[in-house]
Amino acid sequence: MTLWLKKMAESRPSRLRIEFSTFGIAMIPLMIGINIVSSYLASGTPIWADTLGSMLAGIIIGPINGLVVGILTNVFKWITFDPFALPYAIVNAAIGLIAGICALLGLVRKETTAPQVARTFGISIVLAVVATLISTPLNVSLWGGSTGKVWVDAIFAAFMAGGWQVFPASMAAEFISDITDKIITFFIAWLIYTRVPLQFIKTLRR
Amino acid sequence: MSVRLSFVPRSSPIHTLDPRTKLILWVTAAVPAIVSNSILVCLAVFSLTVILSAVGKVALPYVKNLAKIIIPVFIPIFLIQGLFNPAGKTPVLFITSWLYFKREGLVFAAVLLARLLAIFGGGYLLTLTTRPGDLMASMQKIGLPLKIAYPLFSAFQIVPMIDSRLQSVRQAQMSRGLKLEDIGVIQRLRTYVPLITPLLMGAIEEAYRRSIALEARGFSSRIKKTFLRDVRFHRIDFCFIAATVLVVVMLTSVIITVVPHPNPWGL
Repeated sequence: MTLWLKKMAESRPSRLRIEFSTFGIAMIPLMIGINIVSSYLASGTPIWADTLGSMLAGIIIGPINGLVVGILTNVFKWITFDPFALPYAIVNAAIGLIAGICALLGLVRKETTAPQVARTFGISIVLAVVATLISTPLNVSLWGGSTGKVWVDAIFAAFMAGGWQVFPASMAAEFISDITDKIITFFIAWLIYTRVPLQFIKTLRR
Repeated sequence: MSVRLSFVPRSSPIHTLDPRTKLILWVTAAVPAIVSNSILVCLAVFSLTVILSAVGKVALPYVKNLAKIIIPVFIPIFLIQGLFNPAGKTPVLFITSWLYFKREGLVFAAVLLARLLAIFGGGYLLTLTTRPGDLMASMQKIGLPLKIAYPLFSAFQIVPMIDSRLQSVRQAQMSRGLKLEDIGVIQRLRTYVPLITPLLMGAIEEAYRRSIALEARGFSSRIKKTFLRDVRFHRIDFCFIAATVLVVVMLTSVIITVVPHPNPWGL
């Protein structure tokens, strides 16, 4: 794993140099801001969209940057307005990291062709699976399986009423919500990435 | 949207403690709550944090803000667990002949609530009584690198800025004919791209400017940095740590030995 990462780092040295540069560091608080603004825009829609900034940081700058943005977004929420946000930092960090690794592997490209749409779809399913696997144990141990969005809790209640145990019911509800959330959010992230003028990215990769 | 900090400035013994002390207090309080499943231990630990918040003169915002977040979340949890928890057997309150609240589910939800308050109460007390700058300084003393501490700290300044930029982007896009009000969910999701793209480009530009400003101030230099506000352990910190550890251990052991297990109220 580490060898593979090392090999990857050597094949794309410019990418990783950006990540630990002062520019990369200066991008982190701005991406935290995009995460927060995006989840605020999503109020009233069925999704969370609170990982948009982590995904963009992962795609544009790099996986480690996405990871740091993910963790710090939740630490920021914890210090400011949500005392219970801290454990979910792992979920957000994993999303940023995976989006970044996929971009590093060349799976996220600036083109709107059918294969790219298929790849984007595939990555968002991977993201949804990972988010479900990490957040279900957290949801069950902290909130008894609820998530805080009314429609997800309704699905959860329906599964429980159908005689399911707490953990599988919570996991199923979480997966249904995560797959909607991650597909929509990752498509938005990819669309934004295709629309950022190439010039910006070129200066970034110098 | 402005960033409202949890921090409430007061002059109290809790506010003068080193943030690291409060971190240790939090861990001390959270461990018995995580390890034991007893509702009494959790409630005892939570009341301890309430007493500490009273010492810190922040009892009112502490209880009020926790309630404001907890209550809307816990009403559905009580409903779902009380009605549908598969462990539920004993009926408590009938709505119809087939839909009724069960004792086991309600107890499960109550234990969850108590545990959640006990685990996170200490952390909320920490952010409520600590200036974010002091928190950063102490984190750096524990060993958090500046490259992580700086982005978090500057986010307090940047998040309101991003938000005000979003407002100007909204107005600019509306003047170009983008419909942003009275629209359905799908339409609203489609507005993400025209709203966030300019924001992101602005962010890249801003990051360039900031990185130059940071470098001009020696951000990457290897010289040891000093802090404007220093945090340090005093004698009162050690007293506090000793006292809390003692109280938590005593409370937990007394509750575990005195109350028979499983306890008579089925909690």
